[in-house]
Amino acid sequence: MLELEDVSVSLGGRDVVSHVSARVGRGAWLGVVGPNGAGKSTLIRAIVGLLRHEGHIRLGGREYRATERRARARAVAYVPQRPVLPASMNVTDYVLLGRSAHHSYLGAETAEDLSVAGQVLERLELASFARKVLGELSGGEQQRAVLARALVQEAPVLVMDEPTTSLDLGHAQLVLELTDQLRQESGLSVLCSLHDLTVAAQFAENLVVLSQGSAVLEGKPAEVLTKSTIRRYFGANVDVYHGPAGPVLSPARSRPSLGVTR
Amino acid sequence: MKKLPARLDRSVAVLITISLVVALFGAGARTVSASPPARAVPATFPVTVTSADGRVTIRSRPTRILCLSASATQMLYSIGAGKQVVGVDKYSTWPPGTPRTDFTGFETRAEDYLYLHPDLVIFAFFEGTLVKQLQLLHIPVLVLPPAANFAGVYNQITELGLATGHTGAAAKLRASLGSFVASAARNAGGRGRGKTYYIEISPDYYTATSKTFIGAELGLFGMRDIADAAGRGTAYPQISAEFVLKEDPRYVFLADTVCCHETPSAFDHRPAFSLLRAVKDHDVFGVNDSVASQWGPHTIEEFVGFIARVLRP
Amino acid sequence: MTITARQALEPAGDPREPIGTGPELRPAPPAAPLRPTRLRAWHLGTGAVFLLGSVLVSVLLGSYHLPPAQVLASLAARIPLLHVHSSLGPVGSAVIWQLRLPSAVLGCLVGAMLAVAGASYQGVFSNPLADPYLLGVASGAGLGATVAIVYGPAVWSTSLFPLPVAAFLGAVVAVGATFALGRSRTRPRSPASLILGGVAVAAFFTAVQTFIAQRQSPGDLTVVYNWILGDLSSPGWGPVAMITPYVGAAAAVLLACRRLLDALAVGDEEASSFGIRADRARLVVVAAATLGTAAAVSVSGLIGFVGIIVPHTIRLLAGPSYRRIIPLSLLFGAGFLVLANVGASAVLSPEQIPLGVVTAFLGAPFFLVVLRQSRRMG
Repeated sequence: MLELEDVSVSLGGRDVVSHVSARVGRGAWLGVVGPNGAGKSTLIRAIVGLLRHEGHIRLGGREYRATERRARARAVAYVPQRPVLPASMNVTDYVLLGRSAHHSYLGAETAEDLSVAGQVLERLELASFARKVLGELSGGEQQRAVLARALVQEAPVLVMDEPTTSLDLGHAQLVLELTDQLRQESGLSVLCSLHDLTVAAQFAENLVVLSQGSAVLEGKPAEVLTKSTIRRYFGANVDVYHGPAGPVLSPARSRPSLGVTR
Repeated sequence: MKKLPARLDRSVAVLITISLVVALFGAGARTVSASPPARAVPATFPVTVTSADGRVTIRSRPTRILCLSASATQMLYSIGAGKQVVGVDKYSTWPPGTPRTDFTGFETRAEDYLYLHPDLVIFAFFEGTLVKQLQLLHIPVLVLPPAANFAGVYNQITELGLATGHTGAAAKLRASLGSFVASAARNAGGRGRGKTYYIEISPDYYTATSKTFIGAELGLFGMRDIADAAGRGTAYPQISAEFVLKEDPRYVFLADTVCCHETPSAFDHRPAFSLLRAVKDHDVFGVNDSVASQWGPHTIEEFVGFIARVLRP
Repeated sequence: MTITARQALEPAGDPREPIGTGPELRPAPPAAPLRPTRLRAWHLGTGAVFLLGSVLVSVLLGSYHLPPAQVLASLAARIPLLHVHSSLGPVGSAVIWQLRLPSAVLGCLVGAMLAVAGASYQGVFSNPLADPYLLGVASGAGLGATVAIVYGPAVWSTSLFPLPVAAFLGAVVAVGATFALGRSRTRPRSPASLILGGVAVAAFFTAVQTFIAQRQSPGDLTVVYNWILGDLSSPGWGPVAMITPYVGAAAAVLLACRRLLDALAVGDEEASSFGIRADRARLVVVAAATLGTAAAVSVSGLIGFVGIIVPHTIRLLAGPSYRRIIPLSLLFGAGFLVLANVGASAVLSPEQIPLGVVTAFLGAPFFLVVLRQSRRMG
């Protein structure tokens, strides 16, 4: 569904992402991990069309030009890391913004838009919040509203940039679970950057590790997340356990007396 | 992505261009001849008189004149048209006993004048659309803007005589005013020639050049305005205390005694002004503000007579 | 509901245990159909009644006494098929049809434009205190009007058009300069750079205008100030005809963009991600609001605060969605300015207080309230 081929992005003359290639099939979940500053957000913003890139980004086999914003919006939905939430806008209006690419540019929402949004709100257990304004919602409810707005785009690809940054553990899991269920039910392709490697490993079928803008590793979580790769690319000392849902990382205190070397 | 703004710029530019064209088209072209023609004196109405905005036809002898120009008020009462006046503006101070109103001539709604049921309205200035509004109400309007010289004053007297049906009295007033002015200048015997003066319109050194009517009155006596060196492009320039000191005028006329309560002694005590020749010679005079803003016959007689007295040996 | 969802997830317990496919979400009860924020008929009805009421009041009241019954009859006489006979004399008739009604309609156009432009600017710049004069319209129009009054031949002032045309040209030039300045070589215009450009242009144009005005005789100066302080008295239908195309076009564009203004609230990037070209929408809205404002102030002078008072009142009563604010600003802005003009005439009758003074008097405290509110929110 989503193919990246030799994608490079430069910001201010500096290559922030260089020559990344990756593929997310239908119904697949690709996790993007990497240390801070590795270029995860930049890559995601390029996929959504917010940054200019070199190389090829294909959605369903098609490359979109910058001017085809509406067509792209129907192909890829985006959950930003820090969404802007107008405090006085109600949930219905906010979620319906996601239908912008489906109804006429200046026109009102159609009955179909309303019914899609209604279904998504129900699916995300937000139906009873429909008339509430965003400012009254808790952090988890807000994040579900953002997810709802992205889902009503009915795009086959969902791109999420650290969707759990501002959530506590329970809400983080809820949002990811919901996404995963939708993926399984409807064949949604997910590309999601995550900070937490254990969580990333539990949801992603494949992981790609970005380091200094390059994709240095790609593969099944169990192959990618090993003690040595994590030490190498994250500069972290961890113990890796094999849980049923994938590798589980446990940070290990590195004591100089044990002679840990980097 | 970068190219988009450029294209939009073009569309905004096109939008702006179109709107300008529409605006200019909407403006239309209304040209009105403003040159006063030489005329014979008709005796009966309707008459056509020359207003600053063109020719105005007055169908019958006006009996309810609203005069919103203090100078025109003086002219009307001097030619015997006072009985036809139903209202004058708040600045019309001469003659006493006129039907004064609070109007200034700078109102914005013509409707406010209607309670007087005027059949002729006289202005000294154009205020926005006031003239146009009165025209829509079919009330003739005469605009007699500030005269810049004596010829201008005589013309306005003529027009008012025509407009009110007092052509004979108007001719008489012109003649008597002309001879008064001529004899005052003659009697001064060239004592004013080349003498410099400064007219103060406000204490922050706003003044008038010889291109104004008060300048023309002083010019009768051959006097020279210090502001002429400063008045590039404007008849009412603002100069500075330093400029006054540098030019050291022979006479000073304070035309801000009413508005700003200036007095010759206060003027004398301004910093460094004790050095002025006019101060040392006691040639600083307070005059009524109206001498700088009015050009009616009464103001002229007063001010010209005053200058003649000042110049008397 | 949040608690339910969390409880469902809590047994996950030990992270080494499989989370599995996750607990089934509780099936949600059938929801009521979604009701997005839309303009309701009663909103429009209230606005229309307010507007018509204001116009009626302003046509009935005036310093020249006309019996209300006769005025109403004169109005009704022009409605076809009603067969009402007007008993107003020619002067009364001219007062109603050539002075009061055109002024009221002009007030509607100007008030509607200023209010809707204020609302649009507030949306586009995400700044609750943005007003229609933000980008230098006022100073440009002021300079144009001053030049026309001072340097135009005297006859200009009586024929209607040169003053508004000059004011309009000045406004357009100023806004053009703002756009040129607000643009940087490397990036598309940002709202902040546009506003800074507007500040610079306004300062410059005001300086030139002051310089020119300061060199004039008192008569011309009074005319300049009268224009600046705002006035709706209209000699006949000329000014109405002149600005209707601009105000109409601008209002149509802004009405069409009302949904986009809501979308801009989430920021350019997110709006772009769901298919809205935020930069283009912003440019179109600003251009329409500015041109319309330029046309309006060219005939009315600089009437302030309408663009703050009206949209914020509507926001308070009808919520934050521009789908309501834009159309209601048109209706209530029109009625508000017409009523303010009635007030300006009535307070010291028969003397007229400049309209700009009245709106500023009402607007300044309002401005403070909005400022305090937005500070609390921010």
